[in-house]
Amino acid sequence: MNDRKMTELAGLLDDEFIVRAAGTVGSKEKSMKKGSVLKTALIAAALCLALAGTVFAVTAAVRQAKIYAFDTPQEAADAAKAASDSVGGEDVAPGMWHITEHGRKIADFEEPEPIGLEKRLTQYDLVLAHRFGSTEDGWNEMYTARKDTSYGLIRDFQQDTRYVADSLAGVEFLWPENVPALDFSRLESEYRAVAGNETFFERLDRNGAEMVVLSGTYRGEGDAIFSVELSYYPGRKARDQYMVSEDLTEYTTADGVVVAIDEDVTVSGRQAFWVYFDCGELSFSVYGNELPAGELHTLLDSFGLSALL
Amino acid sequence: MEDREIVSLFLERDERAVAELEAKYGGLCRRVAGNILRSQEDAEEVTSDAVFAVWRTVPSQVPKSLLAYTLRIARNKAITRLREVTRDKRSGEQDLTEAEPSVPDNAADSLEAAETARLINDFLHTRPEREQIMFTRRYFMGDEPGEIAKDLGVSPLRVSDTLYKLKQRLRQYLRERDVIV
Repeated sequence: MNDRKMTELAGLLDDEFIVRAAGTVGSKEKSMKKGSVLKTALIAAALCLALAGTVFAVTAAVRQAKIYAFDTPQEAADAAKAASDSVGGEDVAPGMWHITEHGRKIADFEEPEPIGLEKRLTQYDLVLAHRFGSTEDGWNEMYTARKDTSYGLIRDFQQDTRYVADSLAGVEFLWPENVPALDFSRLESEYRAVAGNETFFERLDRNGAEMVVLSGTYRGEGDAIFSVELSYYPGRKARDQYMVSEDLTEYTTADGVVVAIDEDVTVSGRQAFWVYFDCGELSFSVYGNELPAGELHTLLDSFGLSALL
Repeated sequence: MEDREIVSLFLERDERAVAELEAKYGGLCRRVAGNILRSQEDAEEVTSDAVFAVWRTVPSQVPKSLLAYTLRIARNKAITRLREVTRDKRSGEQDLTEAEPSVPDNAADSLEAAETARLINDFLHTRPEREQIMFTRRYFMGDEPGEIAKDLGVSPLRVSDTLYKLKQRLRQYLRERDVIV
């Protein structure tokens, strides 16, 4: 099924899906309220007081996006809107995707199959390169392919380059030299990479690089399994998140970086966790199941996250 | 203003309803129309048309969700507008109207469309909320993975991968139920 077919089928969706999805749209499209600098400052101050009284907020470095946790979607939406209005409709996004109130069960983290690239090439209009790597290369398979994303009267394209390996070490060398990087050595030595799931991904469009991502999935002792992802979005400014969660905590790494950790329980009773860190053009996350808190903290300490600040 | 109050204004034929609807959902309509048409001017026009379409139709149809009802109208009007524009510009060259939802030709087609709709909605109900949102934002609202990712606090790659897997699962789900798409 191509995207046009999916677009056709999406016209059949129930109202509830449309309403829920619309509720997650970033604030930039909403109407802006203009106010004087003084008024804006007062609104911001009032917001800070309100936040301090009712929610948990992760403290963060100046460029780092903040995460605010609320008890109800309405509280999160109100705070996101107030924050958005106070800065002219920019800089915040209601990231309310983790809404426990809806009673949705969180799926278990399933060990993924190795990522095969060949079948994915059918998504593209033009394959520019497709090769299999050797042990010396460190990666298993790669492609560069292009798809026409023109729509209506606008001509555009999307060019993706993707490498797959059996460890992040096999694709780490592709990370742009001028962009801060992380130290994955402890991850690689203490945990077992789920083969064929360590990837480098780069997307270009008519404006140049749109994003670059390194990601991998690892197994630890027992049932511990998690994914690590580092993303770079040129030109992006990380936006604050407003989410509904009862279990958001903050952790300060050995090199002084504050990250947010959210925890919950999956449908089968497994411990689930998400680690968020967003700063400027860079985003880092870890999520998975059954990794004890102490181990997670040690792992976070090892990445050298301060390089991203 | 609450949706039910706006609907009441429509039912009472109070013209303030138009302004209230525009203020509340005009931005979302412009976004969806803009994603389809890639033209701010056309998106504005479609949004105005959609708001007045609600004005014309609400007395005979009371929407369960004013937001979904309005967005559907805006989306359909944008797709129709896209068809008109592309037909004018590229007549006979390439059909860019595939994005338009099929209009059933007869009763049998209507039944088939209703059954397909039921299956798609049933399928989506089995998926986690995040996947539902990604699917709807991408294929109903026309948002790019990058935009969806920013709002959901995940990476665009994760959005793209999730949508890819969802498409495979949906195709499989429909095939198992003898629906060929």
